[in-house]
Amino acid sequence: MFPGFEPLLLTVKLAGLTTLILLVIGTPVAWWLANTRCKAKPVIEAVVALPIVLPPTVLGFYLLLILSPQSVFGSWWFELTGQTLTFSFSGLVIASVIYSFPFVVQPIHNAFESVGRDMMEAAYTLGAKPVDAFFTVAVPLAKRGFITGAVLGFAHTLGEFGVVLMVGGNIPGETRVVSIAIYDHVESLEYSQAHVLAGILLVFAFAAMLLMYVLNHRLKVKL
Amino acid sequence: MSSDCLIKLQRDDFSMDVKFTIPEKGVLGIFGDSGSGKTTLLRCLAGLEQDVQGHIEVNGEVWLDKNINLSTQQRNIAYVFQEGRLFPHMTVEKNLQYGASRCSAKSSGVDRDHLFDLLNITHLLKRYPHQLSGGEKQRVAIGRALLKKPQMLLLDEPLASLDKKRKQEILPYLEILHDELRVPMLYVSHDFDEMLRFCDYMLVMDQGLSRFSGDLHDALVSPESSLSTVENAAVVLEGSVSKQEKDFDISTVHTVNGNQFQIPGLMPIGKKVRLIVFASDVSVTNVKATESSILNIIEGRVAAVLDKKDGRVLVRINCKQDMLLSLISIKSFQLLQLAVDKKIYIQVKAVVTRGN
Repeated sequence: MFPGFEPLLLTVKLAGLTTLILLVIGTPVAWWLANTRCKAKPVIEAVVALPIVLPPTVLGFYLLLILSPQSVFGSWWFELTGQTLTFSFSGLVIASVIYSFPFVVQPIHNAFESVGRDMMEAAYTLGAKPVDAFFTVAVPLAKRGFITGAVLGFAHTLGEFGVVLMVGGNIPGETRVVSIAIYDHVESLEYSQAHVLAGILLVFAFAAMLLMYVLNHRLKVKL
Repeated sequence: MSSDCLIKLQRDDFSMDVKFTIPEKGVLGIFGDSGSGKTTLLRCLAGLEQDVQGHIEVNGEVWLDKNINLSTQQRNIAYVFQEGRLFPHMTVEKNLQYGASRCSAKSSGVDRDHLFDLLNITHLLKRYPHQLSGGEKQRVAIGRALLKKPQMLLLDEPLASLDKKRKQEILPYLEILHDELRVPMLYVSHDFDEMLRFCDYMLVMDQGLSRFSGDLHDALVSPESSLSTVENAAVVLEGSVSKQEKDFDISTVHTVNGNQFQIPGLMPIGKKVRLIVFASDVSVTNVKATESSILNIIEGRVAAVLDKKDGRVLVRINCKQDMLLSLISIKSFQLLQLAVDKKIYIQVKAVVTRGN
């Protein structure tokens, strides 16, 4: 295979894995945010939204500290797996999960809020237990939020650059994602390679957005 | 077995303290102005409100007490919300199955096909809620609730979101249910007419407190219930059809206490009917009019004066133990020299019937 495609595969693997993890851990967070009456809710919301406004280098800098083998988390991980988190694919996944967190949680949170308590109450009066009602009523009614969250999370991870550079570096096959590869090609004045990768990313990003809007339109639940 | 409830709730802007009994069968109307706590009471009973105190015991099973608070799922109720709350992502059929497939009772309780026929929803099964009219939605919501085979059916103003025409479309179905259901219904409404048509018992609420709790007939003629006012007054009499006159297209109804009412239209003999007589349709005379267009003239005695306002007076009249109400002007009251225990005749101009 054309070696230039290696970063592409790595990127898709990273974005896919990140999106999957985010759907699993982001959904309970979104549900909690949509239903809690806890006074600390705005604080949690602000923390969740932080990666949107924080410069990737700032986020990357702190992640570098947290993931390094000298830190509590990093050394614990090293003991557990024998690998360091910095400059590794695993570290990149953790960083991406944090970096793309709000892009997945917020659409799902909004969708859960628009489902509201009413439908859940109706399900409870019909004998459905909370988990049952969640999967049979809340999730199907919030499916547009899930699609938006998944597409945004995936697409946002695709375009990651600053954070990757800070915590992952530029190791081919391990942490060298498309955006880094493009940067390298341009630095070395290899415009044709840069063109190919940039073009693919552009088409891909457009396709993802198009898919999201088409699905959102199709899946609109009529009330 | 009847069920006893004591429900206490303390909120920043609202408090509730209501004690009442849910009958074994029949409809308990929960009546009151908006903000009186009717819906909240129903929600407390369903376990949908937090921090409720008191005691709820249904058919010997404790739902709420000091250390007990069953969840909504554990209370075998069914709830029909004002807006129906059908699941928009499911077909009517899936909606109907939702509760049925989650209830533990054997399927013998409710005959599915019979219920669908009763509610006239069989032809809607494949549709989605957004393809239904308001009345159809409510009929499906009622069907969905009943298929769960609840011990108790809670209806929260199921007609309030419907216009007059749709209301008329769904009223007959509720009346049939009233007669066929073996479980009690709690019916929240602020509509006096609906109460007269469906309810057998009344709980009148006012600012989170119970004003009156008891039999509908008593509620309508007792001053404490605040249902017998100059603005709003009617009585309900239970009877059965005793005679038909085909030539005149008219039927005679005998009340339980032996009074007779002639009502236009032919009804089958022996049919049980509920008569609703509005106070404004009842006039009073001292002597029995012999030549009058009014057919229903009944002897009675003035029992009490209930309310006076704007030149009119509401009088309670005892006719062989049937209590009727008459709304007349204070001037006529004086001219006729009416007083408690005076023998009089009442003329009933119109009677609304509801077939049982």
